[in-house]
Amino acid sequence: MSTVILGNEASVAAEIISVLSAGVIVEPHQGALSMEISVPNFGGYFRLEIADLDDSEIEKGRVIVRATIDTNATMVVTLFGESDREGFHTKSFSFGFESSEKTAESDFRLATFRAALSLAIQTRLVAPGLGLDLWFRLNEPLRNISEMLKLRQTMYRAMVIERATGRRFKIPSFISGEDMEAISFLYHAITEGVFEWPLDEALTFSYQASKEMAIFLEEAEQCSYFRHIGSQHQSLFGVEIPLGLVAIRIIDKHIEDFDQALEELRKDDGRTVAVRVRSRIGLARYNMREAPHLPTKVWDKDLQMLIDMESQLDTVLVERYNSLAASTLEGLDDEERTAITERPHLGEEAFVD
Amino acid sequence: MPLVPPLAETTLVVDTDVFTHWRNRRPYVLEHVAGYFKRLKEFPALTSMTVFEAMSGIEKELVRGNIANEQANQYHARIEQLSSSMTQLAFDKTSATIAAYIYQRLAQSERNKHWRDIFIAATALGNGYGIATTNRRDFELIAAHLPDSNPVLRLAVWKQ
Repeated sequence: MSTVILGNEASVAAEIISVLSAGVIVEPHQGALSMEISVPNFGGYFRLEIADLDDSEIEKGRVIVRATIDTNATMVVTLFGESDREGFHTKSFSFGFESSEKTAESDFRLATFRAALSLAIQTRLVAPGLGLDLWFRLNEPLRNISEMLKLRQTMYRAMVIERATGRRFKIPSFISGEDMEAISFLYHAITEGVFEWPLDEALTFSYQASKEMAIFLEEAEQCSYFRHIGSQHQSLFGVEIPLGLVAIRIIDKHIEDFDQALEELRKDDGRTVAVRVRSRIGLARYNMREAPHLPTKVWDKDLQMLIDMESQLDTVLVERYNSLAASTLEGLDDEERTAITERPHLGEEAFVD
Repeated sequence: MPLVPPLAETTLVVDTDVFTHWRNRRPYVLEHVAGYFKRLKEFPALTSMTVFEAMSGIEKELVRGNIANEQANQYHARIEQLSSSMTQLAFDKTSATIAAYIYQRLAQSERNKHWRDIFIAATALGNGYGIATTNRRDFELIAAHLPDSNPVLRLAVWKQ
């Protein structure tokens, strides 16, 4: 599976629930302007510095506010309204998001922030310098929110890999299936050390032809699994990450061209012999005790708050999906439900050869 | 042993029975769906066969006059909304090839009983997915006849 990073996407219209102050833009303000966003049902609070206030189209009823989520990510709030002698009165607004440079942390913050806004029952937006104070909600399609949380998980895992390895990745706009799998693999290696992983294709191991290796292969053939120890690297976003010595156990193994490989090893002349091994059940067990580890207390308080929102975000989205699934039978009694969900049948004649 | 349990990162489709139980808010499905989402941050996928079965139920009741047009449209729209919020796996050429292989290796009585599950299994296999089901036995039979190209079926048995 591959994934596309959100950012610089079309704006999402906010549905205003209640207005405490409609927003009257004042004259140039002393000090930095800020925007506070609180999401009560997740306990989330975000204070964003306003980086830019574009009122060049104020006469056309539009003001654009850019607030920084972090050094790379910006929230773009477009206010729509009317101007009068007192200033600009907001009638509606929309959200958009921009990324200058994609990093794991920046995209994690952006995905968490956007998912929280999208899943909140209601959100309060306060911009004291702009006289703006209102409650709103976003109506994002469920599929988009689900993809945001998938992206959030991917970026969290990428952050874990960065912190454990001391590397920093430049995240591409499109993450290939190979890199997605590499992120998962490295994340399990770092956080678990010992884990099972699918093995759908044969692995090739190289051995020097010797009597000892011939005996090793003969013994391996008698065993239900194949064990190999060697140093391993994993490539991610073009960066090679060393994992140290890795023990791989191929479960329910099959050694391809066993007789030929054994004959080559028995030549005992130091030549390199390739041995291909696959798992009949597509399973390998990795032991990566030398893999990089995540240091303790690695996240700052602000980032920890975003990380801790995970289960709440999950719970709300899952319940929305459950409700949607239930709505497909809403209003039906038990008998009607049974009838409408009965699996279709074909007559016996459909199966006559 | 072509039938094996899924791994932590194995993506799954739900079979039609599990999908129906989800629509009925059966607690075991809600629990498994929540656990699946927690792990993978996505919802189980649907095969086009399961969408067909769900839509077919609505059409059957409409044709029999048990529901009105308006109701049928409403239920169609909800199935459409749900299925488009999930990953839908198409019965493509790869899946068709796998289904044909399995189908022709089953006895006629087995085909009659399992033809829907053959299409679900073939679609899952063709797209690299496992299956979440309550009925291990049905898929054991199918898994006993897998082609060399897809020798393993990952099956999650979601207990009721």
